[in-house]
Amino acid sequence: MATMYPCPSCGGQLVFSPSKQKLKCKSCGNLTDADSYNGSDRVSISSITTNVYSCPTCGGEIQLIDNDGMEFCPFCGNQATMEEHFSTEGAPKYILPFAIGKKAARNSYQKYAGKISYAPEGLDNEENINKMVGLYVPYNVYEYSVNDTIEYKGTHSYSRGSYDYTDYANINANVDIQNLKVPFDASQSLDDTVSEQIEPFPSAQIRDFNPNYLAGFYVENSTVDSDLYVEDSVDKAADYLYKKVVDDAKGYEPDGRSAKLIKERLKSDLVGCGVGGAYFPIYFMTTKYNDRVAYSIVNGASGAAYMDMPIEKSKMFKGGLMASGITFVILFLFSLIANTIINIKSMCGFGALISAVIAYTGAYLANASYRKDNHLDDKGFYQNRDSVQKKKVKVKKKNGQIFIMLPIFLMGGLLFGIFSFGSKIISIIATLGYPVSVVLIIMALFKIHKGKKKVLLLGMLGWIASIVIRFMNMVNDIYYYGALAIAFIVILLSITEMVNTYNVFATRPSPQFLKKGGGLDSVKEQ
Amino acid sequence: MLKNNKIILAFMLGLALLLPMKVDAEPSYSNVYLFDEASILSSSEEEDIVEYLETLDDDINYLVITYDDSDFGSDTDEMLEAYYDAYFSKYDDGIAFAVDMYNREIYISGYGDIQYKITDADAYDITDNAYKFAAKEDYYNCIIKAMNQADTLVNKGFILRPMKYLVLMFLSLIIGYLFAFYKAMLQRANIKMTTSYEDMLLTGANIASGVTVYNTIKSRHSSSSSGGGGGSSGGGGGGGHSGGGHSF
Repeated sequence: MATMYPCPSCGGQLVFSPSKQKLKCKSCGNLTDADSYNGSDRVSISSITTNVYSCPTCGGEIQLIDNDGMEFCPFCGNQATMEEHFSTEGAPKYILPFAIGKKAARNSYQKYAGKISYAPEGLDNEENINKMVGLYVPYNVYEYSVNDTIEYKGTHSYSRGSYDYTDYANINANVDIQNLKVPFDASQSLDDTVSEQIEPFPSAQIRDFNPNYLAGFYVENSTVDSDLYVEDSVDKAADYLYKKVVDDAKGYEPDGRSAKLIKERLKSDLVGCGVGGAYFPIYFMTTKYNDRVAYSIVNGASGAAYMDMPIEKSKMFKGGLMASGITFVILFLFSLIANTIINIKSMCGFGALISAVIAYTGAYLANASYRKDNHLDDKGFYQNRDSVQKKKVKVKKKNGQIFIMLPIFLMGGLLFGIFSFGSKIISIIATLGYPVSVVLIIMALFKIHKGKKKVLLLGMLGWIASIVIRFMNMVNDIYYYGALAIAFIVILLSITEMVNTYNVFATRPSPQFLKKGGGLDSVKEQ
Repeated sequence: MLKNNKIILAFMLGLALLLPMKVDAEPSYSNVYLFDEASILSSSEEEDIVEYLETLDDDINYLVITYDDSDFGSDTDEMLEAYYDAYFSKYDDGIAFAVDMYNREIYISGYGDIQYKITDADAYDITDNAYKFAAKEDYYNCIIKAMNQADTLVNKGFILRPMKYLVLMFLSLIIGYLFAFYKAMLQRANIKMTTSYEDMLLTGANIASGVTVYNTIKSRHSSSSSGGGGGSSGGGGGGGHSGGGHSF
């Protein structure tokens, strides 16, 4: 079948070159301006006729503008004969062309993957990375205008000489925006939590749609209702304009109440000017990991990368053993230099706290895995408002890394309790380990929801064992140490199970798409 | 004549009696004391212990006590110090060991310079190694073991501390594996390149703010106190002791 983008020089196939930002002939290397080129009448500004390939395993669909062929489904990684049909879809309003080539995308991936410890074998090998393909995913661009004057109170603090000054001021902000474009992911295949990791896309490079930019890349058409993200787009636009207003206020910061009023005012002032479809560029790669898949995605315009990266257990345990050896040397030298007493009873407090931390971590990961596997934070997967409401899907807020850092600090603090300096204050800190562990266990029980409870239960077992041993208050140390050894073995088992739970969290079930979805192919080297 | 000889003899005898005479006698001071107030040792065991302690350093005082009441307070350390102070000066170099049958605890303390050779941690480890004998009511071997290990440390020897190493090993394993796991989690949570791109596109945008100040509060910087007490710990030499115990 003839190419839809014949080269004006030799008739060979033209593909869009991100590095040159022009169409480049695969045969003669001739460069042609993308904006002025007229290709096949199968593609135009108003409609695109594509070859659609459906995966019989997961239902994923990929659309090819040109006839490059498909060898396997990039969504689920299965090699299967893809079913082919044709489709004519309405063209979107906008497009953000690829700005980085596949080689640069691979380098970006390798740069990030190389920094990760205990990565599974094969994730960064050449054969796997070559499966990365360029795909245009659908986005909806919500357009708004605003014209209003907002009054609020703000403060500005500064120092001059020996004095501190605080100015209280009334601020009048005149906000006149003719057009604000707010893009939102409209892809069923691209999870909302993933798309926010690779955003922002450089919106300044968005241009009116021209099908020539699609040459050489795959396309996914939108199956998500445009009204699905209206409220989210209003919130996002209001937050964005709020920051602009505050930045323009000459250093005056609104107080908490004023900040809320400004955002509410902006939300009510926004006037919707319609929703336009757009194609945004990503590079996509699927890696099979046991019965699950791991996605790696690179933003085709900015190079930002996201990857599902499970932990290779054997590598982690080797690393853990090394870390244990180094820790032993440090603790031993510390006990010699600081001449500390090892307080055996405080070991119970330490064991209780560690077990509680593991229980909470396990509950967090199990709940997050359940939500991810059931797409409870991905509105786009359900495509329309009714399904979203039925499943009670909501946009997930990032909770930061507090939950990871907090237990690390707690453990570090409690370690002092074991190395008693004879100080009463240290003894009090050591004793605090018990109530803190109780709080963590309660938090874990609330956090677990419908997640798998194995790690939580193991953690609770170690916690109960540590507390019981402490209250038994045995005289003969040999029984004490024996009982603690059992508690610590439970802790080590919990850590193993925690890694398994993390690997479920870090991957995804093989996809099963409800209707049409995006897919990828083994794109040949461009 | 005979009468004069008798007078001379009596005078010489009286003079001899009045003259100071140097007498060589054994002193009553001892550096080893043992008091078995709890009656947990037999007479032969007491003798053996004293005999053993007398073979140790003459310049170091040794005190071993057993008791089963709390007349002088409930803290074993305080009671031992009271006993030691009763027989020696607490500034003199010495090692004291107590078997407290009331609190079911053995305790060892170092006084004078010994407190630096047997630290609190050492005392704890010595009693950790010896308490098992007391738990089996073998108080004789408990005392011998403890004083033997104390003497080893005073002479810069080495004693085994198996429980300490076991505890350190447990801790290291737990900390090491948790460190590896949380390190892996943190690295994966931080996979994100930060960009300076605007994620929304503004066109025809004009935001202009006018500011009218209606109040200003002015305050002086709070001066940081640069003075303050030295806080140097008073000198004064001597005093204090090391100690550690273990229940049985």
